[in-house]
Amino acid sequence: MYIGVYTPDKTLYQRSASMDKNKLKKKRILWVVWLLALIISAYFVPFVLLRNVNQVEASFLYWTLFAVLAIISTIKITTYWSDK
Amino acid sequence: MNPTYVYTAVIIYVLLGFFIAYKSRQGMKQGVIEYFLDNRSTGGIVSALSYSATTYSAFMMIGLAGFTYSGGVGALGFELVYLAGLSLVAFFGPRFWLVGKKYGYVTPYEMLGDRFQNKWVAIISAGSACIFLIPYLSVQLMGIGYLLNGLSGGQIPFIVGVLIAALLAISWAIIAGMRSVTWTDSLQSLIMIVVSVLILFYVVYNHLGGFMSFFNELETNHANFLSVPGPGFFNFQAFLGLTLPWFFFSISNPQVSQRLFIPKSLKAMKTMIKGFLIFGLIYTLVSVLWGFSAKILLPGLTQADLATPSLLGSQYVPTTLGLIAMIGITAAAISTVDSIMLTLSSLIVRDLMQSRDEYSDKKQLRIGKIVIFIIALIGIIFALQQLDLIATLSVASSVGLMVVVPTIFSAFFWKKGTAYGSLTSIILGSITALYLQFTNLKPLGLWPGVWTLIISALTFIIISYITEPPKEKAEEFLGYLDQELSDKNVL
Repeated sequence: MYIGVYTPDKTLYQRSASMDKNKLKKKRILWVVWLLALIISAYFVPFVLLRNVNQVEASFLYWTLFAVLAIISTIKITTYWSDK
Repeated sequence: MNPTYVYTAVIIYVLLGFFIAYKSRQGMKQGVIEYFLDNRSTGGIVSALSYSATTYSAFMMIGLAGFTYSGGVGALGFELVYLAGLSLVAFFGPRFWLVGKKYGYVTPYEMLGDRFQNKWVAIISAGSACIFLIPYLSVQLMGIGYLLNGLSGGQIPFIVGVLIAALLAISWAIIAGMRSVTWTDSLQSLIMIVVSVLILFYVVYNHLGGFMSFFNELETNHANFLSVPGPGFFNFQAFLGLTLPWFFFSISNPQVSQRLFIPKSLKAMKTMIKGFLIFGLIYTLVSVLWGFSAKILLPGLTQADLATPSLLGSQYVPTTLGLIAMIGITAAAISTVDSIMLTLSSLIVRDLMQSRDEYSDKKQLRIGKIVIFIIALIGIIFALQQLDLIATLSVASSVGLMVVVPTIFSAFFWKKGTAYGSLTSIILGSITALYLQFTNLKPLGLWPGVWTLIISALTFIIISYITEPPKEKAEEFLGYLDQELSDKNVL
């Protein structure tokens, strides 16, 4: 009697707590593409778009923003983790 | 500066460090996992602080500030691309951690040897890490020697600085292994960040009229330092050549990748990553702005590496603050050196000597402690010789350690990777790194780091296609991870 009630509950709990493998894979690809684009921008923007723009609001600001975005993204990825 | 002040400051720092190191030993059990990995039970905040102190060495306030002094804002981009490389830990961190616990790995190379079912993968990777990391360690010792010598006006001999640094690093690594290293690192990371912020704010607000005026001054008198290639050093090839090896630092350098085995839970690893990223951003900005301050206040220096020591010894920084800064930089160097010593000791005992199955824990620990002394001795001898060879090897370290990156990627993401692919890529990659670094050649204008990565990756792929992978182990290893990662929502 007890096992019969417990089993479906556990399955439900697992479904809600963890993503299925396909969803996880999709998320992984999206995050990798975003991070790659972000990292390429750290080369492209200062060396091409802001080349010889001699202001603090140029490469200095861009690289700082780039780092903040990379940090936020990395932290966001870790928020999915569960210690189950 | 009066040497008595310097000695007093050093003594206070040393006593505090020893107090913490001995405190950390309480309740500790004797065993290889306890000694080298703090029993895989380090909390999030200590992990974060220790990871920060280990990663950031004296290079930041001296080398990076010097890069800024001579090359401008490119130095900021270089260091922040490295920081962004920590995003790799969001993918590799939980994987290292899970397999470390399941299979009982102590070192990252032990993991590779097992994953590819070939002990030579572990032996060659560990050997190559020793070739590059011991010179890196001795350059840190030399840095402290020069710093104490310079700040005391030559009254503290170079050799005394080197010996003080080596003795502290040995002690803090030996007292309780990873636990005393992480605890003393935590103290040292706090010293590093507080001191660097303090001296920067002092100089900017007392001598440069605050940050707005500081930035205006830069735009007016050193405008070309605010773009790349700027004064010339940071052209695109140089930037790529420098950033590529550093981007992979978090998985290629064993003293930091080994740290992925120690957090007590994924939650603790999250805190470690978050804490380190925030620490890294602040420390990088402070070091670069410090370099810019030196450019404005002391524009005529011929050697960029002297920017920090010169500014600390100038009329712009009061004696007490200069002393505190010296302790901050010493802490940055020692926290890196003791971690490298402990990691190298574990690599030698577990991977080079392959003692995992042959010796008891007690014997492995005894050998490990003796090895720490031997590594320190080699480091001291190298430091005292002040050879160009050592400096070149040290510079080559980030490039040389990168040769293991294709193997690490394959261990977790490519079943077809083979032991022969790994061995040839590590050997050929190391030869490429050493050859290009020593001859100073840059074929097609590309720096050694770029060629080393291309050659080691291509070799790995080609040789793996024509040799047999360890199918059974790959299935079992990746199958286990697949299930665990899915259960734990790890991308």
